[in-house]
Amino acid sequence: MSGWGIDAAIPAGWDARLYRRVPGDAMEQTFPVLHAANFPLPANRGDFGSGAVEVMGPTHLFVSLLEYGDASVSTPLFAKYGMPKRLSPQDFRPDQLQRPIPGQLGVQRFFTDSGRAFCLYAVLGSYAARLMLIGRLNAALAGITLTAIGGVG
Amino acid sequence: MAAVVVVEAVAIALLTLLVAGLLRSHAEMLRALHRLGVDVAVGEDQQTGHAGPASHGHAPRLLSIGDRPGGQRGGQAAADISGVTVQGEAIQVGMAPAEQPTLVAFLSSGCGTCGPLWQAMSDAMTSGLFKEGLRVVVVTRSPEEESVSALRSMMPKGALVVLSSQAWADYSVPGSPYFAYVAAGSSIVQGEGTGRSWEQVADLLSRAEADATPAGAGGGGRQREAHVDAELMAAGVWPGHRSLYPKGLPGEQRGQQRS
Repeated sequence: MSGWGIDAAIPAGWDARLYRRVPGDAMEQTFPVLHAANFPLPANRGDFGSGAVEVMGPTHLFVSLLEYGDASVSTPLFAKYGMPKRLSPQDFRPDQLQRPIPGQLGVQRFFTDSGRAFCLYAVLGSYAARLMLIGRLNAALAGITLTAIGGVG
Repeated sequence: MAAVVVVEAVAIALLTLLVAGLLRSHAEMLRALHRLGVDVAVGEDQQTGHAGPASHGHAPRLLSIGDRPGGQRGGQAAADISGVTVQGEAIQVGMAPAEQPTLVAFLSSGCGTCGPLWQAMSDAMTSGLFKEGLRVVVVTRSPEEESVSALRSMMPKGALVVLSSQAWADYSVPGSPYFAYVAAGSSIVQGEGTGRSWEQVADLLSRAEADATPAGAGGGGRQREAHVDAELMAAGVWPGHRSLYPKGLPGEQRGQQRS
C-alpha cells in the first residue's frame, strides 16, 4: 500500500491501515499514520495502537509509523537520520510501552528520513516469543520506503 | 471358438486391470485433496444449482469446496484483501491464514438484491445470528467502479468495508451478492455461495462449518495445527527450537545415560 510518500509492502496475512485523520478545523494539521499487525486490527484505535495492543496475544506484534510536522525535523529528538530497519531484542523493554501491559515489550524510535520527521513504535506480544516476533517485524520494516513529498498539511 | 473365448478372457482381464488402476488413482487423488483440507463429500442437493446472483431465482446455497460454477475445482486460496476504505485510507485485511473465522461479503451499491443486506447488516451482526468472534469483511468493487457516496449512505457505522476490484478477481466472484467463508487458521475458502438475507447466509455458514470439521474432531487439521503452533510459540518454543528435535525417545535416552 502507498500514500503520502509512504510505500509499504505488507507481509502476507497481516492487517494494515494507512490513513490521515481529517483535520478538526482549518488550523489543525494532520499527518499520515501507518499501522500494521499480524492480527486483525480493531476499528477503533489510537495512533499509538490503543485499542489494538489490549487484544494482542503472545504471538502478536503491532507496529505504528507516525509522521510529525516540518517543525520537528530540525529538533534534537528527531536528529537520528534514517528509518530503523533492523531492531534487536535489546531494543525492546516494558518501560517503552505507551501503556504497560503485562508480558508486552515495546520500542519507540524518533528519526528523520527524506526530510520528514517520524516516530516508529512497535509492540511485541510476549517476551518468550521475542526472537521470532522481532524477525517478522524486521522483515516488515524492510518493506517500508519513505520518500520526500512537497509538504504535509 | 476356443480362440474367441481366449480373446474375450484376455480382454476382460485387461479391462479389469484398467478399472482397478482407475479406482486406485481416484483413491490417491481423494487422499491428496483431503490432505489439502478439501472436502469433496458433496451432498446430492448441492449437485445442481449455481452460485450466481440470487436474483436469478435459484435457491441460495453454500457450495462445498470442489463444487464451483463452471466445473470442479478445489478450495481456492483465501487471498489477503487490499484496497481502500470509503474514507480513502489504504487497507489490507490479512486472510492467509485468517486469525479468526471470516465471512467475506461481496456486495455493491447498485445491486437490488444487495439493498436488504446492507439495510439489515447492523442488526444481523449484533443479533446473535452469527457466532461470536466472526469477522465480517464487506468488499465492493474499487472506487472507479462503485459509487462511494452511495456506499457511505448505505454502509452501517463501524462496518469493515473495503473497495477492491482486485479482491473480486482473487475470489473469482461471479456477481453480487456473494459470500465466502474462511475458518480460523485456514488459508483456503471453506465455503462460498449466495443468499438473499443474512438468515440464509447464517444457515449456509453453519453448514459450511459443519462440512469443514471432521466428524468427531474438535476442529480441522489446519486449525488444530495453527492452535498448537500458537501455544508452542507462547511458551518460547519457536521453529527450530532444540526441544523439537530430541536425540531419541525418552526410554532410549535414559538407557543410554545409564550405560
